[in-house]
Amino acid sequence: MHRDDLNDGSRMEESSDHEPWTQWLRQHGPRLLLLARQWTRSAADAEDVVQDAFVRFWRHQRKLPGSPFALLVTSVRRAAIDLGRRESRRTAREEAALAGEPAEAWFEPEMDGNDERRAALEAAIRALPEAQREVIVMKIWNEMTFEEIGRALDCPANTAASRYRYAMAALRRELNAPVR
Amino acid sequence: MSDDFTDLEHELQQLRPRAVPAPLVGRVAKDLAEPPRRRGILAEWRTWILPAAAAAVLAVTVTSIPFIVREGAITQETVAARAPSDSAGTASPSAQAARLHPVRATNVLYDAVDEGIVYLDADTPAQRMRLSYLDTITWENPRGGESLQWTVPREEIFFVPVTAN
Repeated sequence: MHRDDLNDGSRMEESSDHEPWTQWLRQHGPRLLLLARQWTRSAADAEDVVQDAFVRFWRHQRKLPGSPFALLVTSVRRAAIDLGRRESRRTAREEAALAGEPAEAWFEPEMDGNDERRAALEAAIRALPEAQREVIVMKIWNEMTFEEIGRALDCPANTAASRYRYAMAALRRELNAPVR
Repeated sequence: MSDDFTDLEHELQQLRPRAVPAPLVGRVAKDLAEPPRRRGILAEWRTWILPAAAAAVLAVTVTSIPFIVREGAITQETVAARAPSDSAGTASPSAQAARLHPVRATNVLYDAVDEGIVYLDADTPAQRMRLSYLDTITWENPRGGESLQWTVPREEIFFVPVTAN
């Protein structure tokens, strides 16, 4: 199923009636998880956020008018912000333990043996400021327009487009830089 | 530097976000298998009792101000009647305070959060909205020009019935 299918309410309703939610989650969950990962401190937190948002969406929101995908993205972001508020009470010890955990890869390893390049790209993306990273993830892997991104992030579409250009320029600079 | 990022975009698109882990699918399955929690409006008392109490205190305070001021003004008039030679500059502190009159009340909406779906009863879903305001009340002394400004935060929570097509 392509993302366009999600924005077509009738097609989505038809498909969700005939397909189990598991198929839907397996197909679209990866990019939602990647998005949630931009707003959370660990992979486990990102999973909690997607679980919360998806269950709410599937139960109550998938038949609401409007774009289901945009609703889900907003839901994921809100769940991440709520979690962030709750987690701000974490103890320093928990924070230290979290910081010591090995970073879990955001992308699947490449099958063609070019995993070094994947690792370099991922490292460059991780090094971007959050405001640029979230736009890149929404644009590249969630196929959102700048208008949709602006609505999701409460900023003008032009601002989203600028952040995207800055991010892409920074990525290109980083990837073309000589190996240190 | 060129703004054509086509090659880089294409390369990024080749990266596949990590698959949904099986335990997450299991947790979602468990959540969806359970009947949804039907939270009535009364069960939400923790979320609205404090803002409601704050709003009530504010309302009582605002409605009391004219009486407080009027009481002070009467006292001042009484003092003035008893001691006609007493000028405004030597009036007592309470009389000074009594000269302040509420002249302006504004509220600024600075945040609106859609908090998702709740159930008002077993079959009535509603969208819960939380609005955050800053209320500012200004008192002024029309003669001396002194002013006092009081700003307090306030939250309103309301429910919008949801209908599914």
